[in-house]
Amino acid sequence: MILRNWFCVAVVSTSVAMASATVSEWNGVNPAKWSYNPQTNTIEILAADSATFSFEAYNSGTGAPLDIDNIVVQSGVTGTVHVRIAPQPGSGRTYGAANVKGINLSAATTGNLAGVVISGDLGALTGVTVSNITGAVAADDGTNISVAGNLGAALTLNSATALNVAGGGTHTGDITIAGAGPHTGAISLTGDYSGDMTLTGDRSGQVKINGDLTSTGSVTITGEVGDRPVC
Amino acid sequence: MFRRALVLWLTGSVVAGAAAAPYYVAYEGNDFPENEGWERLYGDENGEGNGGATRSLVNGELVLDSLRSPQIYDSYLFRRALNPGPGEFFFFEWRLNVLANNGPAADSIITIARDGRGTLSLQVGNADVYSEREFWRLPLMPGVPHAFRVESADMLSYSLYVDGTFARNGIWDLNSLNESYVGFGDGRLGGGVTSLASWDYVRFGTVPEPAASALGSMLLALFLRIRK
Repeated sequence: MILRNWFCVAVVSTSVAMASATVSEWNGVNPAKWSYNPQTNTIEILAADSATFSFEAYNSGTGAPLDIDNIVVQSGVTGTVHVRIAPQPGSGRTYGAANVKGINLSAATTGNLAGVVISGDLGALTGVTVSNITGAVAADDGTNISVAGNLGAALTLNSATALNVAGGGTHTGDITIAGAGPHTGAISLTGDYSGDMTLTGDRSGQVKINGDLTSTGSVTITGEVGDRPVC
Repeated sequence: MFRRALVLWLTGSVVAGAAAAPYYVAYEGNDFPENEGWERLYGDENGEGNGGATRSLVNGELVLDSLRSPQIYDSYLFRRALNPGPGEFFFFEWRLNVLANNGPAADSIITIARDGRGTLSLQVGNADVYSEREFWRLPLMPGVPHAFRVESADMLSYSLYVDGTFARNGIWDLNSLNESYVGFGDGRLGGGVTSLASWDYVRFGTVPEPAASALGSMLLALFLRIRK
């Protein structure tokens, strides 16, 4: 199911300011579900789909990073949107660095959206902002993709119900959970962590960090905590 | 003498401030945009730099036809510093007739990527105009041309006018990598979207804000009166 819906946004050539991209299908997909706006370097997800909707956005070259300014999920989209910032594991395809500046979800979508999964080489991200999500959110480093698959930049989730950062290395990016809450989902972080973590809003879910926190800048939790957070 | 000197200084300050970086760029549909300093960004099912829309210049309008394939895109970018100086405001206006738009989204798109990073992208379909990042949508009367105008003094927020009437306010998306360019044209690759659209003009630049302009005129009138 997932394989059938993987898309490939392959960059043939890139420039520093604006990647010039060629978008192509991979493994037979329905191109009506998504589009690419070269004016703004934006990938827009258009169609409703109750199944997992997955696509790859990666730089097929090794030169300048691929800049994806935003991934916009329009209203009416259901299911889980899976964004992979690298080729699928085992594909054998090489890739260069990619920056995804933002992920923008329509407020009208969030009531139906089951979740957002971001995977790939997150070390190359300049920052991801996801807001108003009612479903699960997972940020995963994709173990077969890159040894650099750690959270190297800030990841901000507003009113997210769950967050899973599963990379095994050292996470240097800050994690911020904002919004009034209540945040009912679990937050799980595996690997050593040296960034700042700020959790705001009432929370009843668990917070699990499995790794070395000795280099962590700070961990701040505010709001009513209802389920014995473990840090 | 002192009064005259003061008036001269003030007048000079206002004029100099308003003229710090005024500019005006206009595309009027008399030639293909790439012949007038715009950068063409186009492609089709064979990749970037191939095909593009079927183009024609008809009665001073640029007609972009991508009805053959949703893989066709054909946009035009103009790169330069955009933000207005003190006492100025920025405007971007265009007149467009979307003759056909097939698929779940609009194909005719304008982009204003402010200085210092930030993206505003408005999309015009058969019967609506909407903001890609802000998720608002306004209905339009289909099948007729519409004139749009964006104005901003700070490049953080803007006002949109449609056919000369204030329509709504909005904001730039500052969570952006894009910087210092404007764009227009058939801006969507994929999505099952095709279109036929006629672009009459695209104009942008900075002009003195009404208050600053009025003050300058007032000071100039005072100066001329003193000279008498």
